[in-house]
Amino acid sequence: MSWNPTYAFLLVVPICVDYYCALQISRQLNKTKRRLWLSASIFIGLGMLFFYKYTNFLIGSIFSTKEFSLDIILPVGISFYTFQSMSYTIDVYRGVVHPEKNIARFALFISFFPQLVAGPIERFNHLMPQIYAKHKLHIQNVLSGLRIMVWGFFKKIVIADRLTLYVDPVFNNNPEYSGISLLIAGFFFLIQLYCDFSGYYDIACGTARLFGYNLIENWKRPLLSSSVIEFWRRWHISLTSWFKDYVYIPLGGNRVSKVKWVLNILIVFIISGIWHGANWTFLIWGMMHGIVFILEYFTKKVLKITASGFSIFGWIYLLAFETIAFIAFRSSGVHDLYNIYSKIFSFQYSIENFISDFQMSRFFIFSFIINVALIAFLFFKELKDENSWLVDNPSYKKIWRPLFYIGLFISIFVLGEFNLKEFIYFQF
Amino acid sequence: MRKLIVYITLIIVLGFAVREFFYFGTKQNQAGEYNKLNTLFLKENNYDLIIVGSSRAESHFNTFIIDSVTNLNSYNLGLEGAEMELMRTQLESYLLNSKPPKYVVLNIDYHIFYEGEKEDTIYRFPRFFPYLFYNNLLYNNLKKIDKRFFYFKWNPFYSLAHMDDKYIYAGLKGYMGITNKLDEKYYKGFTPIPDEFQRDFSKEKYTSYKSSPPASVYSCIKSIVHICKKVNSKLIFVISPIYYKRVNSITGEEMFMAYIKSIARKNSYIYKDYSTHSLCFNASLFSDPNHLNEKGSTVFSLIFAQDLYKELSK
Repeated sequence: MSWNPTYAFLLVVPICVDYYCALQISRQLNKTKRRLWLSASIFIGLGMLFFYKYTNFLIGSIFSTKEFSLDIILPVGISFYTFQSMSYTIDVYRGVVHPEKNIARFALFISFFPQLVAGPIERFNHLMPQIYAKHKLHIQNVLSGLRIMVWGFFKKIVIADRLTLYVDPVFNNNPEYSGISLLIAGFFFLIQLYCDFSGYYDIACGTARLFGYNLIENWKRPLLSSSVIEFWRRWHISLTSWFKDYVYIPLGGNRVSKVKWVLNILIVFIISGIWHGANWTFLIWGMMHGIVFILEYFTKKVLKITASGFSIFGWIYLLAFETIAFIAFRSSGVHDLYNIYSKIFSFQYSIENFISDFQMSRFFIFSFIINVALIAFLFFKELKDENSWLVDNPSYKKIWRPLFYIGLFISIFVLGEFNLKEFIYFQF
Repeated sequence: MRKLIVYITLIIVLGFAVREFFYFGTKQNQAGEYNKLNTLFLKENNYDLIIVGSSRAESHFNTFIIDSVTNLNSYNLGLEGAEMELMRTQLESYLLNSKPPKYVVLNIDYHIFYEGEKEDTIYRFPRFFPYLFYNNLLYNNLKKIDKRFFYFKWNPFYSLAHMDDKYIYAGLKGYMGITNKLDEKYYKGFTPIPDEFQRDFSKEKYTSYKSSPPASVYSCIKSIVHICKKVNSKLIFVISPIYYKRVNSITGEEMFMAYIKSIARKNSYIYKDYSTHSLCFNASLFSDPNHLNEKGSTVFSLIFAQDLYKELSK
């Protein structure tokens, strides 16, 4: 993953191609020609994505060696803007949106800077009207944008980057660690990934808000879900809804036989896994989610469970499953994953192992307690937002909310980890 | 808009307050490195002999043994990662508030001068933050080495961002009176390296290199000599033991050592080189090739103190 000015060309290609293809699609009355222009747009978009993201993986898988790998750098944000651009031409083809005639505005839609490198994957009919609208600087927008940004920076610099200090050494040297340390690292990674990615979203969203823009909702407190099905309604919503609209529904959605539906779900989750990167571990991660999603669906149906809402057992189950699933996401290869799972599922957990893994000093305990406290704080804040506690309380808005965010801002500098750790999703 | 100004003011005030909270805690440490920094930068001292140098000075010179053998009141000012410029600052800062000592031991690390290598900042620089407002000499000297010290002093958020958990912990440790393993055997600036830090270096490979001290090192030595002359302190040059394989891997130090010897000769200063002493061949006395362990420091300090006593009795 890197950025190089020459790679800006890769941003220009989808802008020009999709701008032109969309215009042609709207002009053609002949369905075959319309389809041809759409195919051209998809082919070029996916072709670029495939070349930069999967060529070396494919070469490595075929020849079982990295010797023939090409010197390719994955351009930052390519997965996001390719999907965003692709959704536009598909929507034009479907007649959902009218093509944009002003190429500058269209270029702004694709390259809108707050969300360019790691999403959310915007939709044309959501962002474009805002690009057309006139924006004035409003103090309320500024304050609200700053609040969102502060929370985003806190999640990224304080929670995610601190957890990295525990997670990285454990995963990178996993043969040296016991099951209990690996399990804790797995849970920490789940939190780290969430805070890293949603932290980026908050910063992007806050930045956009300063200018009077509202970005599409991407996170709905997924770690408070009580099931995997619910989790996917809340996690990386812009990608999930993209897959729903442009993969799942064209495959037939749920208006097909049960066998075909199961297949459709698996396909969507496998593609979602592969979208994250060219590694078998992402495929395993996608498959695990697909299988559990289906099992959950049928279990609920057989047991006639209709109740929705928060359940403590469901929540614990969700966190346990996601911890295990995201270990696959974090592992560097199948061999590592096997090693980690075999240690975790041997269930030989003991505090002594944990202590000897980290040669505990007072300082380690101090840092560990801070991390646990930060995770507890994260869940508290999410619960507060989920249940809209204090929202209608005037003294909260006037006194406590500003103090809370000022405290949060200062704690970023006190507790933050400033050793320039890039966002995890920049690599996708 | 007024609201925004109020928030910004509040943030700045709180930033200074939070930072001062940690600084104050750091200054409450009764043992270990921060106690030494307090002694060095804040207190008025009256020692007969002070030891200036890096981590080697800090962990090699046992002040308890030196005091017992020589009947002098000594203090070890050695600081981990201190290069020559920082050693000069150590001495100058000490003299700012304290009575000049009779003797200044300068431990020379000739083996750390790799060709062309020059750090652009100070090793573990956040440890000096709590003292920037109280010791202008320290601030000015550090600012000469690293310009960011202006911002470290005046921008609380910039300095807080550079203080990782270790420094926050040091602040809290001070309030709670906790000590860590390194602090437990701390005595008047001497901090032996605990057994847990012992490294197996028997199979370590030593790539040979040329020791080439930059011009700034020569000028620092010169200025240390000048300072000592000014306050009438007698300088004692010491090269404390390093593991023989490490010593053998270094070439080209002759010119620098000849320079030190010539200063010593010219000013009638004591010069003691232990880099070829028999204890340099005993791996069991070392924690790593550059540092003696606790046992090694006891043996060395005894030898050094006896040598010093003899020299001073002449």
